[in-house]
Amino acid sequence: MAHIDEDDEEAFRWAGDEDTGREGARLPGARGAGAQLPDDAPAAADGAPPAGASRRPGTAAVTILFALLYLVLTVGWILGTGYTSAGTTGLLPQVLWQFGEFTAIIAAPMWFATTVLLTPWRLGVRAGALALGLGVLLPWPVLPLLVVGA
Amino acid sequence: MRIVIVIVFGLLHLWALFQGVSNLIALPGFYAQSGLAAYTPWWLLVLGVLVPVAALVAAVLIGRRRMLSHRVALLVVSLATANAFVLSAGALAPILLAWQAG
Repeated sequence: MAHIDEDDEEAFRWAGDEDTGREGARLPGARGAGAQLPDDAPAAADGAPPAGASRRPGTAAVTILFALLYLVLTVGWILGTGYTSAGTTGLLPQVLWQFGEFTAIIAAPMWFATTVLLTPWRLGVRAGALALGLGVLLPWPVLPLLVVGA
Repeated sequence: MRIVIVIVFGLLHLWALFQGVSNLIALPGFYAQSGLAAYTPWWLLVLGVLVPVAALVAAVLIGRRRMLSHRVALLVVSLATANAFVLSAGALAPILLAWQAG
């Protein structure tokens, strides 16, 4: 019977798992200590993320926190673009300016979504990219509105 | 196909770059005529030129060896960031002037 059990367990292992720290069984919700990866470690030699890595509590908490901050940024840009103008009546500059305002409004959600999409298993990289986006995409045009409101 | 997409997004970035260059050329003269030459926000004007270029280059470099949809997403983020920075620079300049000139 012991021989049969070993064969069953073998189905959950993959050659080279010990080298990458993933010798634990790859079952949802069954991630043992041996299956844990450092936050910034490459997922595997083939580049594929380990199953369920993005569902780690730390990653989820950081992502949700940044999601709220990016939501505030988006609202700021929606309000802020109401206080900018092309400063000309030319048709082409007006169209390009409106297009620029539209892209500015979608900048924050696009930055957030793309970062989350491209960093499924790298908490450090994800947090760094999202923090960079917060700094770059601060909605300065909304500042006069905040000052008047204050 | 991929190079065509990069060229199209490169052309779309030109609007942000044009505004950055335009501000860099025109704003110092406007400040000088108003007697505010000492308050010219040079760092902001230079960033206005650099950001659209840097964003496009970063999107192309990060998108290498990725699938097409990810490349396009990166280029959209780059374009949106460049245009957002143009608006931010336009709003920041008078704020900086008011802050520095008291």
